[in-house]
Amino acid sequence: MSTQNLEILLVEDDPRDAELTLRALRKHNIANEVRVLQDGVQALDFLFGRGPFAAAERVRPRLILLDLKLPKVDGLEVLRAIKADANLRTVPVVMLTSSREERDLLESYRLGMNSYIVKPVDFEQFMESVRQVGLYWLLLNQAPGENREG
Amino acid sequence: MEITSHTLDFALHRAELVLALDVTERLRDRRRLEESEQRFREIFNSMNDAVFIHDAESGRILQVNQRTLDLYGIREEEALAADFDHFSRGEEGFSVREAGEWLRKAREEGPQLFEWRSRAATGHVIWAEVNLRYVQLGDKSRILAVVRDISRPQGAEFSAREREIGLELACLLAVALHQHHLQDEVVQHSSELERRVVERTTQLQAANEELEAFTYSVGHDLRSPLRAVDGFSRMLEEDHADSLDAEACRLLGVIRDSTRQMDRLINDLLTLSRVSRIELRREWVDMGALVREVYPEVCAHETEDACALELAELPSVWGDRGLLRQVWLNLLGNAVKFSRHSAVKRVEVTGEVLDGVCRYSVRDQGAGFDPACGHKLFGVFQRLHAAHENEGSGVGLALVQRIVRRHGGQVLAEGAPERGACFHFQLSEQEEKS
Repeated sequence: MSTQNLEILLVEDDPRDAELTLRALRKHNIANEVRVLQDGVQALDFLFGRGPFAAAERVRPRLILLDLKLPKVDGLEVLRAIKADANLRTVPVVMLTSSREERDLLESYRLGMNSYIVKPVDFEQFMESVRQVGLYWLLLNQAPGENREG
Repeated sequence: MEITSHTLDFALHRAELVLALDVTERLRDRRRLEESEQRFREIFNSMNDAVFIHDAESGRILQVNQRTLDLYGIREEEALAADFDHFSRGEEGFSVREAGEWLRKAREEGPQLFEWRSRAATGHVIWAEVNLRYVQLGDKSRILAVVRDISRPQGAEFSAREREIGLELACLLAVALHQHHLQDEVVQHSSELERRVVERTTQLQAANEELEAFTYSVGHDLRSPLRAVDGFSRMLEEDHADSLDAEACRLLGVIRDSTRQMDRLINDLLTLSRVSRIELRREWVDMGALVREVYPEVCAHETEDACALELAELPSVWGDRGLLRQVWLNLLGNAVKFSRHSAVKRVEVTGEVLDGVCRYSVRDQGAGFDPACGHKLFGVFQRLHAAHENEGSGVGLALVQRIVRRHGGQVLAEGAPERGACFHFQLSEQEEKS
């Protein structure tokens, strides 16, 4: 598997939230290579090189931003698949959700998610949340298998 | 006369001695005896009770009357040859051994009266009342047994007393039956009740799950478009500042204020519904420390001089710290908020323990409320004051009440317009055993 320059895989079914997230990432110069997928099936196909992505070279993102509530296959299922895979397990996964739900939070932690973010309604707060998440997981945190200097 | 003759040798002469005795008396006596015996026999045999004459020592039956033969359906020879076995049932209380015991008691302790279950030759059971009496007949010891059949022949008439007893017995039986019936009904009802409880609980659980799903989607689905409204109006502001005049910016500001207000509302509703659903995580909570921690937070948004806090010593309580924090946030927040325009800006917090119940009070000298509307205070979306800047969502006191109730306590409010308000809440000091 190649470690192309894909920095963030954003799995988000709401195009408005996706746009806001991308805006925040670009505004703060956190990531240039961001791939946006709309549902859980697409995400799994992409990550495991299946379906429309069977022919393409498999890509291992450096960070996955995963909406919890997704069409077809929900975020928890995608998370389960990622954390069950020896190769993908070490990719940090940040769960994004619209509301703090105790059950989801517990289940996400149980499955080995790395962060759980409730998307703020307030624009400034939303920008700030995305900035901090990107900053932490892409710039400050050292993940295994990465050979980054500085 | 009784005449006897005797031939005698009397001085070498045969002599004939004739004696004439007057036996009138003797004959009369014998006749009297015979008559007496006859009379006795008639009476003996015409008695309605069976009579046995026993030898007191051996218990052997010496004589029985006609009624005995009729009652037990046997012949005289059989009766005289019979032993106790013949007349006893051989069952517990009516065996040969007990019959012997009754005889012994009659002999040693005096007359005995008792009831006895005996058996006729035909096999049917006779309930008898037995009167045993020890008598001395000449130099002979006898026991007289007078046996009265008290089993009721079919069609026999009952005496008034017997009817009375029967009626009473019937009443008792009826009551007993009724009670039994009632008991049956109670058992039936309680199982019906149990079934209904299970049914209702299931319905309630279903309704709860529905509500949970609903609040979840309210939280999730309403917030997404709201985030878009806020975000995109902000983007408009940022990206097109040049082409927007002051009025356009004001309009965008109103939009953004409104989304913030709606966000707060949704959050409060979600919190309210969460409070009802989550498990309490109880611990010892230092309420004084909690008030000191919360109060600066409450005053942080105040622009004018903050209210003074007068905090008395507060009892600790066994409760959910996070939820109790919400209670203080709301009560102190209200006190500060409604004191903004009053002359005396002071919030007093006191507490006491009475019979294991902790009572906390928050008193202010602010706007107060009309006691007539007091009942509306704790309703969701109820407001007793006109909405203005920074006004709450109308959920705060409902939340307070729900949290306190979840702890098994209660909230009370006192107040008067422009005379301040005082909120009390009571909690059990210790966890209630349930």
